[in-house]
Amino acid sequence: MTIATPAPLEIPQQATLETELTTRTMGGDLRLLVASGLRDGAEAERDLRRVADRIDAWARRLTRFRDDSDLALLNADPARLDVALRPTLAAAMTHARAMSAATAGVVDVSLLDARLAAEADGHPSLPRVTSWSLTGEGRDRRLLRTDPVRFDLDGVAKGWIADRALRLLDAYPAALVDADGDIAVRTAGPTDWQVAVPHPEEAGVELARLQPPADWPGGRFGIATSGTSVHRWQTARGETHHLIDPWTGLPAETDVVQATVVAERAGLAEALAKAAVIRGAQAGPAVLEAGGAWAALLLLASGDLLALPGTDRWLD
Amino acid sequence: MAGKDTRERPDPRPARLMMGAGALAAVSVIGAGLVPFPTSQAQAPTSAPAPAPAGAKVAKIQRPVTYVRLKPGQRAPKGARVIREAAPTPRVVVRRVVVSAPASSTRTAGRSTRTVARSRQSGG
Repeated sequence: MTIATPAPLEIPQQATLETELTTRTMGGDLRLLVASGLRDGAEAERDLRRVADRIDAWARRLTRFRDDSDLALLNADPARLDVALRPTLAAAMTHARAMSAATAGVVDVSLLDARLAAEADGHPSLPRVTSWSLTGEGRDRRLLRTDPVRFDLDGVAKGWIADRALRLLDAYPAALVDADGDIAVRTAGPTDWQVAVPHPEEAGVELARLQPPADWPGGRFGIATSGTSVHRWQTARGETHHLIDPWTGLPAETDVVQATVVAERAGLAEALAKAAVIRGAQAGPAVLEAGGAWAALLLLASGDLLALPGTDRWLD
Repeated sequence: MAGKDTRERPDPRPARLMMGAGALAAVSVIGAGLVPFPTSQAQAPTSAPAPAPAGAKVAKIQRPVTYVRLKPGQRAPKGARVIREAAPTPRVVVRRVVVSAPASSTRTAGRSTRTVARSRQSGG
């Protein structure tokens, strides 16, 4: 653990203290940032450490890469059609259902087997329809399967975690949670905070810098990016990627390399970005508008950058 | 009273000697029973290999274990035992900086802005 506390030599009149915590969790990078009064640094650090611990606990329950996670236990026996869910997984699965609805079914967390098939050898899996639902309330939440499907929350969990963690920082006038690239932000008004969107294939090149509009009244928003250029691999069928088209059961054939979306929440932005990539440049914008995207940038395979109407208000 | 009892009594000394010897023997047995059992630490190795029969070939058997680190998306071969690599304790870095608060409610040319995060594909 390293704590660096630079001693300010000159404090501006209208000054604020920003406390930042960075660490690794969820298989990626986590970054928390809050603005506070000048004297509240120790308390902010304590809060950020507590939030980081909570995030790590959520991630351990929702990952498919730990045999003892709640998600792994759900996947362990797909033939069990009626399963009681523990609270964290129940909340994340509820969010996943909402994201499926917001993207007209494009985002589907029950495609783990299709993804594993794509990773293994590129063999197609059968196209399928959503075959699970949730029932009950609160601690009696249950998952009902009509087919023995298995689940992969993946980025859906990261967006959900970013939003949920941001709520834990409501005491601060401004806060940011960067869950490995899916970002939840809250500010009290106009801010000088910007979020950069790096080019996925050209190191050091930024596609854009996003910032709330000049008339931003304050509040929450989320920014998330999805694409096909990071999680790629070779199969007998050629090079492929991890974003599965639910109608084919195969990695999506798309002309969108990367999509960045601004929306009311990070979880929604993440789902819409994924949907835009899967649906491509023709159908993607309609999915974004119907789903409630505030702004979006689509990097096409041609190299062109496609912007959703209204995006200019968010560009620096 | 009648006259003095003139019967001879047996000499007690041999019997006392016998009892003393018996007591010594009993104490000796009890003492031997109180000797502690040898513990495993004190035990001498008893698993010395038995000598090979005359004419037999002695072969040293080695079972090599090959470790393969799976890449993301890779699956272990059938029958392989999968062990989880010990993850290092995440390094937590906390940083504090004092900054000027946003001065105006409208975005103006030349207003200072700061990049505080990067939205990117996860894992990228």
